[in-house]
Amino acid sequence: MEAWITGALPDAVAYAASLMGDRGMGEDVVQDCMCRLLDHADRYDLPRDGRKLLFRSITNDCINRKTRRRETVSLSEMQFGNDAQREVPDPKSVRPVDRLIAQELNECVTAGLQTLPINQRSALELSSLGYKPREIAEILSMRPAQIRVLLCRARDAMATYLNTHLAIGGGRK
Amino acid sequence: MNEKLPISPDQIDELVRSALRADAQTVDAASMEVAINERRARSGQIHKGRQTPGIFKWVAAAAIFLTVTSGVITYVVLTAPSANAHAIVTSAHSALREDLDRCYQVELVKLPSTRSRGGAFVQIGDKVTLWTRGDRFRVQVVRSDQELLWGQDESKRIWGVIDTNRGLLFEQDEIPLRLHEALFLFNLDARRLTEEVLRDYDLVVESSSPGRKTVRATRKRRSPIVMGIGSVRMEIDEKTNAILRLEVSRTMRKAEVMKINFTLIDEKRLDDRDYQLAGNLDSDAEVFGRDQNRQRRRLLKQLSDD
Repeated sequence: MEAWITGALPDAVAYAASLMGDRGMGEDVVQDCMCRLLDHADRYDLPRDGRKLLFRSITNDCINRKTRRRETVSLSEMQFGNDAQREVPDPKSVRPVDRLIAQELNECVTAGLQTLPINQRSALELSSLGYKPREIAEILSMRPAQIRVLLCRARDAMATYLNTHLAIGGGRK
Repeated sequence: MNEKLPISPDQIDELVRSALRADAQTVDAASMEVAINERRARSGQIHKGRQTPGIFKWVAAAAIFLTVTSGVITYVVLTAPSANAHAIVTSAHSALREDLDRCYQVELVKLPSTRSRGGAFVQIGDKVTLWTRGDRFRVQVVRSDQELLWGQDESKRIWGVIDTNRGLLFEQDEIPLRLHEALFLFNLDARRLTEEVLRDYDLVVESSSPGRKTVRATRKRRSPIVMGIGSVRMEIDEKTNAILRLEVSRTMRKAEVMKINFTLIDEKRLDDRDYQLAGNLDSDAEVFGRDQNRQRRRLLKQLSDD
């Protein structure tokens, strides 16, 4: 069970952090969801279904939190953007310039994802994590056809965003 | 001109996958598992209590009786101190002169239940000095032998000093994510905070050191906190009513994630220009704003990575 938990956490946190647009809140969501899941571990076959259940729970929790009105006091008008933690060196890159490029690219993709509506973002991220439209439909409680539409729109929007912000492939000579 | 980028769906997925994986690699799964186990251990005790079998119902009834009784006693005992706490904070609020700037030494305190260490612009362990006037602030962060100077001007534009010849300026609608946390920490308007404390918080007087009155303010229950300030502890000078120290507890979903301590070290009037980028640069310095976004992003990265 411990192996399953530690194996599932990194992707879950990255996914939740992206949906929330904030690493700290993403971790908070994952901790909540993982606690709930483990509290009912006797009902599920976690090694088999746990990952899907966890991502479903994270998606619902993130959507709930994003759509809930945020409490504000004078010290809390800004979001908790702890994206510095995301800027990790790409271990495969050796040269600093490669590392910088990888960081820039990841940063740009992350920023692009933030521009997508949350259902498009979650569908695209789940797809990139290897889930099939049918599985994503189960996680997001939608129909597979709707997921395909979401994915199509999300990829179009991302292509446009990357085209604008990376200035690549625009016929430069 | 708006030629569509020839990126295939697979390539988009691959880019997203890479970004998620890069983020996933920074997750300390072992520490997080410990935190999850701690949470479960705490909630497990609560569940046990709820599952108490019927044979113990009389115990529950007795407990309810005792709770009600002690509640009445507590109410009687605490009503006077609560009113007193309200008066103390009201006095402190009145003593906060609008025409003075306040300087605080800031300390971030890490809590064992969270992995949050702060962001690139301020971290636990940094030596931080903060000047504030309303929404304006000017913050000096010293980390090892590096110094970082940045702030917010009267138009709520965020600025940062690279060196005396170069500065960064961000309009409100283009503030990068990496600055948000630091903004959250430093957007300290003591007058507004005390107003909100008086309005939205339950106040209790705590025992304190000689010459100081201490009030703990806990957010009222009627509104659930998603993210914000859960409680504030104020140490107030008995004679002058000046707020000498503020301990702000930041919460997410009712869980405390970070404490930020502000200790008042100075009060005087600063020049308006101290809160502006131009006031912290040489007269012929270059300012990177919206028009030089690419260079500005690189410089910001350099500034936060140093």
